[in-house]
Amino acid sequence: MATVLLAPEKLERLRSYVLRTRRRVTGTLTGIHPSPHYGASIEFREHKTYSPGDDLRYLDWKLLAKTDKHYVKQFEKETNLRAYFLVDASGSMDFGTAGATKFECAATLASALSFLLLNQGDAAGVAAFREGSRSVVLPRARSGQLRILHELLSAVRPQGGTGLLPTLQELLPRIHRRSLVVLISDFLDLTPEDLDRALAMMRQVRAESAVFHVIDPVERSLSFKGRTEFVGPETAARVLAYPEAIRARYREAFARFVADVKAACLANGVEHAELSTDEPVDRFLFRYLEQRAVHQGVTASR
Amino acid sequence: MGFLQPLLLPFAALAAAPIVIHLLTRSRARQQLFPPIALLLRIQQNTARFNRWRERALLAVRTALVVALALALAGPFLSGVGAAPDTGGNEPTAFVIDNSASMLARSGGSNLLELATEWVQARLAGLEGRVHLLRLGALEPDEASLASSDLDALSRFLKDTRPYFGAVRALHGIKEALGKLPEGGHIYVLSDLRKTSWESEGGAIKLPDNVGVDVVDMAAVWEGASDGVVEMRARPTRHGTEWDLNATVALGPGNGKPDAVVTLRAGSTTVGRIVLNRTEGNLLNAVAQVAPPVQGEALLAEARLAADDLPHDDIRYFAADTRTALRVTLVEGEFGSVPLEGEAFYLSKAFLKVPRGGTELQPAIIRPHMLEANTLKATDVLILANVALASLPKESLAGIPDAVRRGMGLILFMGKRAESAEYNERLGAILPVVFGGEQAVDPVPGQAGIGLTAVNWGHPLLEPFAGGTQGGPSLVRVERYARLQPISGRGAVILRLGNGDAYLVEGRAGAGGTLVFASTADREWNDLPVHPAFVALVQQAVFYLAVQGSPAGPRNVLAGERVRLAWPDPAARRVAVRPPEGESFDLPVQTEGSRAWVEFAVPGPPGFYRLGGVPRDGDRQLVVAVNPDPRESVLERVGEAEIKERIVGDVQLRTADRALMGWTTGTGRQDLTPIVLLLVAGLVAGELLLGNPR
Repeated sequence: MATVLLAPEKLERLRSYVLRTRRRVTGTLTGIHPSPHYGASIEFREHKTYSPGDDLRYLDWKLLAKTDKHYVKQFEKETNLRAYFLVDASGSMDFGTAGATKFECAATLASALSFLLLNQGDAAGVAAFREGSRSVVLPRARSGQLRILHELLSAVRPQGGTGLLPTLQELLPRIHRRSLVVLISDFLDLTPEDLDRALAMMRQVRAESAVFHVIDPVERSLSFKGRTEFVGPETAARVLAYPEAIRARYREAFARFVADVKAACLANGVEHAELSTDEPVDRFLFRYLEQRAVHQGVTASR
Repeated sequence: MGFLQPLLLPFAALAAAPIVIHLLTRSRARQQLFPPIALLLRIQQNTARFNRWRERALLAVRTALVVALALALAGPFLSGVGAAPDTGGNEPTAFVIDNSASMLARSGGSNLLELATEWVQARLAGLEGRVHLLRLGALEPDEASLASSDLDALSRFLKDTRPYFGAVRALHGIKEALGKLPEGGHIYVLSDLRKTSWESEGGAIKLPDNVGVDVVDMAAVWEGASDGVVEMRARPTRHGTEWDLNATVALGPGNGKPDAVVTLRAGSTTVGRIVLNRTEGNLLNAVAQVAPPVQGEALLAEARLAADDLPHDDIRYFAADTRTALRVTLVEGEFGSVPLEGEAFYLSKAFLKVPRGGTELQPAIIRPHMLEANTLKATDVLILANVALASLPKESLAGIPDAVRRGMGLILFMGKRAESAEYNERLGAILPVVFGGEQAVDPVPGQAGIGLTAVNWGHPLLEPFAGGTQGGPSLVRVERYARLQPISGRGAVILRLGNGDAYLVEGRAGAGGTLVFASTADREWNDLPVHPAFVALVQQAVFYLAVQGSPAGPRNVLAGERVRLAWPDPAARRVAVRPPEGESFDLPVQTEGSRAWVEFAVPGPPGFYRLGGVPRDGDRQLVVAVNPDPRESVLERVGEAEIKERIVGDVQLRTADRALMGWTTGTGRQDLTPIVLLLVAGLVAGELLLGNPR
């Protein structure tokens, strides 16, 4: 299997980026992500009516002078993040016409994001799943975590069905609330209902969720020629067809499928991004981080 | 429906190719792993049935496309569409078909004769009542025409129309057709309009008011070119030890070919293959010398040009009997007067030294009263040297003209006993000259007599003298001679005296030939006998006449020419004839007393005709070479003005191009090629549409 790590110079460039969650997360250590709790950071969050026992150091004396009422200032607490990368290792991911397979792209993306998070003090874990099989490394912020994640992702051989729902049913109870859950998949053998259920389950853990939809360009264009027998990787289904004859309708159906996935994500408050196998992962990642930072009104780099 | 190039039709069998390819590749679709197969399955459920039909339609379109292409190449046409001529279906109609050899000119896959008969066939269906079909070339009247209302009989007549290799007369055919339409009607003449077959026959044909003539120029569809016209001669040299085969080629344009190849064959052996650089209109000769295989057998030779679009003039045949011995009867009129000075003395010397391997000369020297009628039958060449005809037995004298016409050669030497008036009277019918009495040469101081000069040193008779460069007859001095006045059309002067009078004249009479010397065979009137040229000239004269006149008659005839061939077996009733192609046929043997002969005439095809079947030991076989009439090779054409000069009345000249496509009523042959091409274009569009679905 090809390496799932970015080149050293790409990783070096990645060090200068930060990834902040949009939602408040609960971590065990101090970090850079907003926490639901109040803390001692320098960033003011709100006033609170003074109650006996409150630390008088935070009493807002200026406000007391103006209003003759006692308020104490409360500040943001910043904590670290637990991130779970769920990587689809089904047979359909073992397909790629632009150099790398979809799974290789997904694993590289998960690996790179893990590197970024671990580098900023967060905990990162990976679950590579397929129907009836899961390989899981729970999130840790320790040194050597990246190597473990890399070894796991390198060892996985995509095959079989997806089994997303059973995976979520098994993993979600183990996922800390207010963490980051990233699902990387092609969503090909999921019915719209199953996809909805999966996304709803992710929403229920109140984690910040993101979906990377991996697509090979040929899946989008059906650019084959001549009489072709198409074989499914996960099922025994076979289709004999002239691609030229069905191309237009197929493209339309695929675009609708992608749009449905995106719509389902948005409906469940899950961030959605498309990862194409013909685009280098590092380029996609840098672009993604910058766009995300723009949306958050922060800078992507340190 | 017919095809201009039916030979291309078998390409339609390639229509099996798409079917075979379809069957072979049906199970060989490319396999492709494709994860979003669920989407394809959903779409395919809707299109599977359509795709099945599309595949079948594509197969049908491709198969039809191959067939249509083959059809288009073969030049399809629909014949018989509204087949009636514009003159109406019930008007008496005659079709005159020029079936001369020049109509064999190929145009596409068919020759002009086939196109002409197809054209007529297409129109027969629309005609009512009796239709007259006439062929310009035919030997027998029953072969020349047919009048019938039975379509089958008319079709058979058309189908059986074979090319006639003799000369044809178009105007004669039109007169015949007029005779068959006493109540008026319409005559269609289908001809290639060669000038030689449209020669005027003494006055124009005036058409009645109720008769129209359409002349269809068939040559208009001919796009080929003649490689050239070959003619052939052959003659023995060196007393029969060798034969010169001489092919003369008049080169044509030859479709741009840079040269012409002439092949000369003797028997089954190619004896010469000569490449002639083409310069259109040039006459070029190809010569080869051959030894006859066995003395006494027939020499069969042919000269052949590479076949071109006009095949009938690309080959010529030649046949001749080679002789083991020639029987020469020498009658000396002045016998015994001075034995060592007489004609018999000199002439007998001339027959002594014949080259080894050549034909033996068997001279018999007799006195005039010894010449019997039977002797004439056993003689190849008769020499009358200074003979008073009155001294010959009457019966023998009367038999000389017949013997000459049957093929005997006759050489006359004049002298004081040979009286001009007698010769004119008794032998005038076969002689090429009129004798004008004895004439002495005006004396020239210091010269004895006058010399001789040849009209043409290339004449075969003068061949031993190498074109006059080796002295020969030019050194002979003549002091006295009999005046010879050549008869126009019968006599040709070979040697002249210095004063311009004829000295040696040749002529033909039936199958035989004659040579007349104006002077004597001894030294009485000239010194010819003491010159070295004498022996060669006399021997050459004997061979020359013997070859021209075979006792059995001519061996080289033109198609359509009727000749009489003596047959050696009077007891035979019939003689089998084996033609160069086709089935054998019989000729009746005709007899009169002890003489037997067969009359031979064939319309063609050219080649060697073997009379007597397959020879067994002792059986006699005659071989006759039949060649096309040379007038068939003259391609100069007659113009519309000339046609209207020779046929006065309602005459229309049509070009075959329009004729073949239905010129009179827009009917007849309808060219289907544009329709098939449209179909091909439609099929190509269909193939593109079905084969590349978007």
